[in-house]
Amino acid sequence: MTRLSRKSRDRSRAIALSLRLYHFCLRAYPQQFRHTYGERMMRVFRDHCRAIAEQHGVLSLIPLWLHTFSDLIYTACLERWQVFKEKNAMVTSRYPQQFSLRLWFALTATIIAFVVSLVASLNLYLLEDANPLTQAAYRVSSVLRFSYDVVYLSALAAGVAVCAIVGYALVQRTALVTTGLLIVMLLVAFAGFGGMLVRHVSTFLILLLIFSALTLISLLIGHVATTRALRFLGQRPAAVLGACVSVSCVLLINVVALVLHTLLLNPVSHALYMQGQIGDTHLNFSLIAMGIALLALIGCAISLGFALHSPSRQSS
Amino acid sequence: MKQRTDEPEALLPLPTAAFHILLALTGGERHGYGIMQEAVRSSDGKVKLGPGTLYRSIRRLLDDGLIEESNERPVPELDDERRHYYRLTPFGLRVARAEAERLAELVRAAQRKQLLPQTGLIGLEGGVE
Repeated sequence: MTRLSRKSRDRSRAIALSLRLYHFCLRAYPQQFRHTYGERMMRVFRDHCRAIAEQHGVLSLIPLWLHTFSDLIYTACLERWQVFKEKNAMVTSRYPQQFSLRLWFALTATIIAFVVSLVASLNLYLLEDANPLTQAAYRVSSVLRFSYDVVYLSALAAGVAVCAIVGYALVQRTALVTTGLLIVMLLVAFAGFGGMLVRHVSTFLILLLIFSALTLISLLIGHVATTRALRFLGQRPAAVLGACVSVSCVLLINVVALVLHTLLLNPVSHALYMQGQIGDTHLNFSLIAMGIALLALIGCAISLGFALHSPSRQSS
Repeated sequence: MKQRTDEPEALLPLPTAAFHILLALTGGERHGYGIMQEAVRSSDGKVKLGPGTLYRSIRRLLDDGLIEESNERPVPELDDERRHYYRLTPFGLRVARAEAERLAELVRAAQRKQLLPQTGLIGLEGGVE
């Protein structure tokens, strides 16, 4: 009698545990499906568990679980895929896939800002790198060294973000573009400062960390902008707009570092900067490039702001 | 939203799970677990529908109008009120017949090619072939 009741208690416990576990596993299904069929599936599983455990014992729940779990994984994947497809189709049909005038304007402004910042950064690099005057200045001020590195790394990160614009414009699959961007990121890192790996491993790792952080944060901000733009734009224009936002974010860091660096360095080595004098005038190419980069970035930010402003809000 | 069709042939071939659910419901209304048991019984244990497959198929059959939910209970006092019962619609019956005919035709083709023995198949139009 006692053995019987103990057996039945063990069975009840095993079934209760199975049900709790299955209830948790049901989270694998999309919310809508779970809401409609979750309770019914629980009841079917409960009945099945009870019948199996009564007929064949508690251990027979193991093959039942194996079958149920594989069924759950397979059907949950199919359901998720279907929801993804439906969502995609809904977005595609609801919003225009072609680029609006505002988006073209934002895209052009972003590319111009990128090119100008790149020229300003390259000018800084050519002027200062391996110059004894600046090397001496770097030894005196660590902020100067750091701002120089940030200018360089942010220019590289902006290059990766520009690749994101091209990727989203040409390929519609986010997973494919993300994988491509990760590969580009690694290539740019090794081509940009891979030489450090041989001479100063720790410096290389620090640079890689800063570069990765800059790139990933900018792409993340771009993703947030894409999510917002999806409310009134199709998948592709929204993704391109998000990538433009990524570029502008990293360019903002680039220009801020550029300004900071120039202001810090100029009093120390004025003679060096005067090498970049244009013709017979007192105009300094570095300062002009920096000013244009700043203006281009402001223009880019305004155009992006317009593009991210939903049409309904504009009209109201 | 998928558009419904009135032509049974437009829904063929049916997935195995869906056909087994329709087969289970030809015997009358059943709840989810009842359908599952009937599928095991009618296939000699070869078809074991998991809860996920069962309810994905049921949702599709409901969407296509092949089955419908029923509020009636065969034995109300013995049954859990929260259970959902399903029954075949007239269109569902036509689709199940069309699918059975399609499968029978496949079997006949296999017999002609001597992949299967000639005897044993009951023709849908009547008689043993």
